[in-house]
Order: sequence, then C-alpha cells, then structure tokens
Amino acid sequence: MVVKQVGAQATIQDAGRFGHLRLGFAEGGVTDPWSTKLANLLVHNSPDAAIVEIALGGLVLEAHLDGCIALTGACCDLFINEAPVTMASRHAVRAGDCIKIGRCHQGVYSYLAISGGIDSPPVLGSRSTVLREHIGGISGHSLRVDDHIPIGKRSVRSSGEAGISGPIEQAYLQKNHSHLTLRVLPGFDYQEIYPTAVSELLGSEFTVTGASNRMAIQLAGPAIHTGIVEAWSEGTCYGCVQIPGDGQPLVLLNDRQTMGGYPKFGAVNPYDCVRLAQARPGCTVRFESVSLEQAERLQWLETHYQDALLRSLGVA
Amino acid sequence: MQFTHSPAGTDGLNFRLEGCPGPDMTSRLLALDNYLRDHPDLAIKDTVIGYRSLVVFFCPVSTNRAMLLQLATSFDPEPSAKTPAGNLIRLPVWYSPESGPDLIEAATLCRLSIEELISAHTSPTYNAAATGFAPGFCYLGKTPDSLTLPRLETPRRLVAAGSVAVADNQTAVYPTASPGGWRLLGRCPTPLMCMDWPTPVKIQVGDRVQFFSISREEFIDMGGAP
Repeated sequence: MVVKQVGAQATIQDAGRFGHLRLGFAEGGVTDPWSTKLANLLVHNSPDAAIVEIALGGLVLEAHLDGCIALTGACCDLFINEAPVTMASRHAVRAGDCIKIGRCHQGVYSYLAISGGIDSPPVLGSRSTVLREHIGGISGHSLRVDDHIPIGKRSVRSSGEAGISGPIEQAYLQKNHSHLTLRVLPGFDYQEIYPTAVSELLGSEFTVTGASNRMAIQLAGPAIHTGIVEAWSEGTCYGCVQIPGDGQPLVLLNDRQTMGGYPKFGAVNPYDCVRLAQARPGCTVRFESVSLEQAERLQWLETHYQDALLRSLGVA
Repeated sequence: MQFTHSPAGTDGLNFRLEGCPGPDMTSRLLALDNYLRDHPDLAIKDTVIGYRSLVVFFCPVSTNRAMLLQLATSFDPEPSAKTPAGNLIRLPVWYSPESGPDLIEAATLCRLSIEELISAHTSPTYNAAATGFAPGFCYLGKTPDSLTLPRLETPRRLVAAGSVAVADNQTAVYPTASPGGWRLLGRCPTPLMCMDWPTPVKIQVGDRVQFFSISREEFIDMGGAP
C-alpha cells in the first residue's frame, strides 16, 4: 500500500507495547480495540494484527497487491476507485486500486484492516507508533504521502479459524455519544483530595475539549481544587484521572506518559475510556465512583458481552 | 513491608511508602519490585517505580490481587542482602553557554561563578530515583543546595539530545531531542538510548550517576556534534 493523501492523522497501531513502562516507554496501541478486532476479523487477520488508525477521516491509499480491506470504528465515507462502499464489510481490492477514506461523520478513530496485516518492523515487540517517542510504525512518524506500508504476505490468522463473513450490522459498531457516564475506581491520591473537591468532581458535568488526543482526553468544567500541594511523580495507568493545577481533569489514554506528577483520583473503566476517546469535543461526561468489586464486575460483563457478540458473528 | 496501597485500575496496585524520597526509599522500592517480579506465583506485567511509590500491573486472570497484597505485606527485605546495587555510570559533560544555553543565567540565579556551578553539579553521586517523561529520562537527585533552579516559565519546543539539565533539586540528561522545561547546563556526547541495545536505555532506577567536565574538543572526540 502506498499513501497518496493524509488527513488529520493516521498511524500504524497494534495491541500495544507492553512491559517497558519501567524504562519510560508508553504502551501506545489502538485506541479502540473492539473496532480493531472487528476490522481484522472481517479480513481474516489475527484480531490484534497491526492496522491503520485514522483520526477524523481522510486517507487515500493505493493498493500494490491483491487482497481485501475493511474499515470500522468512527463512521467515514469509504470509496474504492471513487465508488462508495460500506463500512464494516470486507471489500476485495486489486493492485492499482485506490482506497479513499473520506469525511468522518461521527466518532474520532476509524480502523483500516488490510488482509495479511501490516508488517512494519516491530520495536520492543510492537508495531504501535508513539509519535512523541518517535518509535514504531514507519520510522516513528504518522503516515505521510509516499510512505510504503508493508503488508504481511500470508493471512496472519492460522488456517482453520474463520473470520467474520460480514458485513456487520450497525449494532456491533461504535455508537455516537453526546453524553457519557465514566465509571471510575478510586485510587492513588483519592483519600488525600479534599472531600469537597471529590463531591464536586463526582457531582459536576464536564465537557470533552478539542485539546484531546491519543495521550489524554482533556475535560472542561468547574475547577477542582484538590488541596494537594506536593504530589510526587509516580506511575500512571490507563484511564487515570489526573487533576492538574488549573483544576480541569484529564483522562489518560494509550500514549500517556508513564509517570505523572499531578494529583490523581483513580482510573476510569477501560471500556468507558474507549467510548470517551471516540467522543467528539462537546460531549458531556459525568464521573461515577465504583467499588473494586463493581469495577471488576463491569469489566467482566463488558468482556463477556463482546465475546457473545463475536460468537453471534460466527467467531469462536 | 510497611506501605499504603490503592488500586491503579482493576489490574494494578499502587504501593506507597512512608518517609522522604531518597536513595534509601529507592532501594526499598527496588527490593519490593524485584521480589514481586521474580515471585513464581505472580504474573507481573510491568512495574513503575516513582519517588515514593511502586505501581504494579498484574495479569488479573492468573494473579490474585489479595495474594499479591499479602506477599507484599509479608515481604521483609534483609538490610544486608539488599537489592543488587545499580551500576555506577560516569557521564562526560561539556558545560558551556554554547552547549548549555541556560548556564550563565543558572550561575547568576544561584549566585555562583560558572566554575563553581560546574563544580557543584559534578560533586555528588546522584541517585536515579525514577524514569518518566520520556523513554530513558531518569530523574537524578539531589543536586547540592547551592544548585537549585526553577523550571523555565515557558518550556523549550526542542531540547537537543544529550542535554544535561537541572530543575528544582533534580538533574537529568535528555536521552532524545524533545520539548523540555528544565534549565540546560551542557551536553553529554555519549548516547543515553539506543533501540539496538539489549536494554535500550543507559540509566535505570537504582543506578548511581556522576558527571565530569570535558572540553569542546573532548566532546567532539567522543562523538558529540556541537
């Protein structure tokens, strides 16, 4: 595949770079693992094969091999040789074909799977691009015009396992959210934050701002004054709610820095984080505090719900 | 070991020790880190050592949170059989206004001559307390009391790789070019990070670091590009 045009940002991602936080390497990885899994299964790849993550639409590629593609995630116009085709379906492409991902109508991140998977050189066991660290993907940068995206020769998925024969119904796709409830498991500094600040955090509505990216979702709302003067830098986690001096909370995502020195309230449920990452600026959110047991149960339910959806699509 | 703990998500635990951050606290955190990561009954995915805390991420399927907590609580590091002492790393630094654009202002702020400032920065053996901000960026403490500097009000968009910097009573070397708000005193010509090394970063938590002053010529001889 050769890149002909790019929009806001398109990066190569896989499940992420794990086990190197201790050396300061961010995890990276796809923002929306469910959409990634669906796209890969549609083209009979392994569910976590490397894929193109496109922010807010806009990418034109020229195929150099025969194969197939599928696009999932944020809803975009999709064309093959100028003819409109559907998202969440497998489409055959031939060498020379032009694949165009046009305008993005809702959501933020779309996923283009290519049969065979992307075969860019792994760095510390992952192909995920972390732009801030200049590693992964193609020489550590987002896709640029004339980049050649290397594609794996054979299907990554071992024979005998079927993918999704597709197309996928709307019910399986990422929804558009104008309001979200973020279930947050308190941790880190939660016991040291002023009780009034905790009630304000849990009782107020916040809005997703345009300053959000793969590192964090920036929220705007009433300023939360934690009362914590001295916070020592320590490890962060996915979904970490960090409250800097201006009192506007951040929810940390895949490309977050491995350590943070701002007061932290806890961690948002990972599935809620994905919905949040897919939300456009202006989406309103509220935090809801959950116990450890509730948080574990939520994750169990979401995981099993997704497994059940996959089974109903014919994937074991 | 005595600590407070809280969840870091459903697959993480944050252990915090009481007391003041410093070499002693770092070695206690490292001892707990080594113990948990090497324990045969635990599946630890990753850990992050901070100034006074250890965040542990575990595989929730094969590792039980309660057992992890119980093992950490009962762990008692013997003072004699301490964690393997980290490496002693000696780093050359070309201190100059050319390689360290904040050197002169830093000396003025600290009311030191340039020579005194260099001598203050090269005198301690620093404790590598935490890695963060960027891969291989290790927070080294503490600088002498005479050499404490506020961060820049407006961070630089681009700091050269190898830049040696101070903020508050911490010092560090930027392993790669990046934005940065610390005060730059000079540059180190030897690489701090290389993705081809078995461990891609030079300084890790627990290491001890010393700086020594070199000339512009030595900087170039050692492979530095002024």
